[in-house]
Amino acid sequence: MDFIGENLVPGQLGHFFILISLIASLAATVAYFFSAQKTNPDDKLKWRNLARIFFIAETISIVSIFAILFFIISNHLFEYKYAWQHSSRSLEMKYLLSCFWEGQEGSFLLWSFWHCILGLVIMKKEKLWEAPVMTVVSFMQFCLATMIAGIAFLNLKIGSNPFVLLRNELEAPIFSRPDYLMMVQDGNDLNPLLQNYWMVIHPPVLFLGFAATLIPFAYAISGLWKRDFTGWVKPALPWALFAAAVLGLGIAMGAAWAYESLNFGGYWAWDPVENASLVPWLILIAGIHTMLIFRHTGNALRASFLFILLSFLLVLYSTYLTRSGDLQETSVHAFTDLGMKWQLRTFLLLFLLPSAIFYIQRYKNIPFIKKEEESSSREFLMFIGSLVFFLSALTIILMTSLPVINKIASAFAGEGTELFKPLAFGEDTAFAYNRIQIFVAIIIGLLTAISQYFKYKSTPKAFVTRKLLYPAIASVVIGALILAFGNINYDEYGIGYLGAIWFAIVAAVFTIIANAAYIWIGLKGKLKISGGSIAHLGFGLMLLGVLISSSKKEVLSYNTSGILINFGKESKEKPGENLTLIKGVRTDMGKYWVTYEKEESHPEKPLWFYHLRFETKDGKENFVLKPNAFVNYKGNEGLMANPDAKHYWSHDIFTYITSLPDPEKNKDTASFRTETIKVGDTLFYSKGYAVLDNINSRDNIPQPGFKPTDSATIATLKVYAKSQSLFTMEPLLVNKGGQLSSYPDTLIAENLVVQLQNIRGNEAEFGIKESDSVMQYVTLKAYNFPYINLLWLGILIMVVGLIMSTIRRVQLNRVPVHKI
Amino acid sequence: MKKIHIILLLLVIAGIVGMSFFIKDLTTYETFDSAAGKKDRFVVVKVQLDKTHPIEYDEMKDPNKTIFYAVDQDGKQSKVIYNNSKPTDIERSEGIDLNGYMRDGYFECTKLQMKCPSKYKDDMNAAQKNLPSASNEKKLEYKY
Repeated sequence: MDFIGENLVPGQLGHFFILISLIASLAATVAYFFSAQKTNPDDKLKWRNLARIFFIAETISIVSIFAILFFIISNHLFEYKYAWQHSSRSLEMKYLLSCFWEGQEGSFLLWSFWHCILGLVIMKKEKLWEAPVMTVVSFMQFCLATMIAGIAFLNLKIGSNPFVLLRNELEAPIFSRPDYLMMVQDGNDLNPLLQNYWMVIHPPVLFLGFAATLIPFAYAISGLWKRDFTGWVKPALPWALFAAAVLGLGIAMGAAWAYESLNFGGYWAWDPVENASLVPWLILIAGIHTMLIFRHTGNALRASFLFILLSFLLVLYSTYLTRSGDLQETSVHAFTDLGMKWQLRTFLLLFLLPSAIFYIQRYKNIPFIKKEEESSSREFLMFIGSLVFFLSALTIILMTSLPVINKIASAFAGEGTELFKPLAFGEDTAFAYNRIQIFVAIIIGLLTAISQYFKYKSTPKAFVTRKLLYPAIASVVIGALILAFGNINYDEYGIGYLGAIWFAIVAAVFTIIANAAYIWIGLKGKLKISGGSIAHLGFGLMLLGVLISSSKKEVLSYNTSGILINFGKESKEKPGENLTLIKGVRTDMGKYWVTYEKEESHPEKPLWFYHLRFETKDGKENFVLKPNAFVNYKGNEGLMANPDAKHYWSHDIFTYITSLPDPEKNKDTASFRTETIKVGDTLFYSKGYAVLDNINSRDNIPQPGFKPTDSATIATLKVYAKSQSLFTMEPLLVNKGGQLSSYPDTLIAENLVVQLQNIRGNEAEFGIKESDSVMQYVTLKAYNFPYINLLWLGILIMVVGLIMSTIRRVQLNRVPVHKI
Repeated sequence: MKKIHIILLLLVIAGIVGMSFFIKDLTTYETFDSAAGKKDRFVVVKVQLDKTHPIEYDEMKDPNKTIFYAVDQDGKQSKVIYNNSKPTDIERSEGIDLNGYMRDGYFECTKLQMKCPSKYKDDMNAAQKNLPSASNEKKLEYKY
């Protein structure tokens, strides 16, 4: 059958380039391998030149695939499943890129793309190590190319192709019609949670970080492979620093996205997907420090190998965790299974097994220094720090792997037997991590503060104490001040944990001050060489930001709105964090009065912005937050909410919608009944009566567009409810140049709405309505996050420091080595 | 023994102590029946929403209480009280992991994880529902 309106050319081109990329990357791997193995320089060169051609062909195909897929998405060619599944016509231009990496195929492509770029840099810059390093890179490229190949082979599906057609993938009656495309007018759109500007830049940065960890790994493998156990460290170090900077930034951007668009009320939730990217970073940092130790003293080479190999292998492991669907039970944002589980496992093993065999086999040949380090040496402290980072990463990844452990254990014990019951996280997941990592923070904080004051090899004691004395005193004083006046009394988990937090805060302050001081004391203010100190300073700020913002995070929306609260039997429960605001009713919320003023909609999407006015009770602050929510969006019944925050330098006020009224339940069917009365007369309603107290004219009301020629009338009614309560209602009638408009007043407790409809002499005409569904309301949560900016600032400074170190190391490597 | 080995040993011991706290706090997947035998212990129960009962949530009365019924993997039904706002899309969930305590006559849920077909929209069954049928496209009205 011929289908009408399909544009099949881009897809065919795409398939073609995927094939080219598969072949070229495999060919480049083989050619580079031979170049690395040959001893004859001519052969080496010949194979290398061939390999370069293949790798450039690979780069061209990846870029072409990228461009074609983007063409398909941006031109809304919904005959392709990828475009239909991940985009829509109403999507803004910037988010077209986000839909690119919403799917697994697109994110594999992105990853692959960065490898191409990094590979080209190595081709250009690396003289000695190009062949072995690029063998590893090309092989990785081949593995990634299989992920988007989409070939069926002996009943096995290899990869998931982004260019498949919708009609081939889905079963639906419309595909039997040649003009089916007429009916597929719009795509499924991008998940609303991903429609956030962080989602445009976070994945590219994160994947550049992932891609960059491959380079030091490739150098380490090359070192083992070519039995040049020491030479790889020098060229690999700037790459490792670069990877740490970019990966760190990528993780931070992910945290910022979570903070701004997810609703777990924070930037970090120890979610498996977050952990999976944090763990390689921690081990990479450990590896950088052991590599520095090796460069300066010749120690810690074996550890450097281990850490650098592991950091990339853990990137692969995290890829497996997040993409195989095995984490579905514990993570809120893992990818779903695309049926590629076996392939992802093979992928991991293809890198794990050779690395492990190489490392174990050649471990004995890796040089080491028999003599023990002085405990007063810098390398000794750095090595302890690296070990702590490594062990911390191990505990995190073990805990994160619980679903995998369950799977393996069940496989051995047999499903559903009494032998093994699948394990689940205890009540407080975050605390399970925090109570271990808080001690890591203390140790790392102290080590980061003092290490640079020590010299390599050995340090005279007096030297250290003299130089560290003032920073130490200053830190203790400032730390004490923060503890004394900062009111850090997070005792939810007992006094021991609070003590640990206090310790960690002082340690973080010490890190900041000691490293800032070191730039002047140790380095005489030479910024060019103080990348390390700057990175450490940033790390300290980040630590302080984490500690203060999470221990002083407070819930603002504790339920105080009088209408409700009946905890009943479960009264030992802490008060709920959700608060319901009725439109126009100023509600008490701790320090604030909050009013739900109005809502606004996005011109093209069912995206609603709720205007909530926050006023402090002392009247000093007054601002509007506009958290938004997608309502009934593309088959997602209910709402998908995005928070909004008011940023101050010292804290953020953060709020999001948790519930909206059900429109079905709340159809307002009641209508106003009209009654005309005079002052002093009584109006009756089912649950009581109201007396008209007085009628006042106003020529000035706080309303936009109210001109001096307009007038307003306020009627004051005293409402006497049967429940013995007394209320006041003040409906408003505005006369704008003869145009009357009523502003009804609503008495929630009595479900009563009264509007002033007209005034004739001393008679007032009222409309009265009683209805269960008069109210428009939203339910929200609100938090105060103090000092979150310290965290963001710290991360930025750390990244800047790491980049400075990278540049410094690149420059150092350029200086030719003089033989002594 | 080198100093670094002693330190390594101490760190590993500290790590193991930390992990043992974690392991001690781990809980197990249970059914409503087996959870009843472990009263007042934090457990996880895999359930499905019982769609024959309405979900009770009235944000005007108490925005922090959702009551619904769920059926576990053995087919046993129980009332569930969740002290929070009604989770978005719970009606469409394919499975729920209830975390909490079995009390007398109901399950007190403190945390829940839902498996939603639409989560990342990679699930084609869910996506298929969004395909227009051969007849005219249904227009949804968004009004609040």
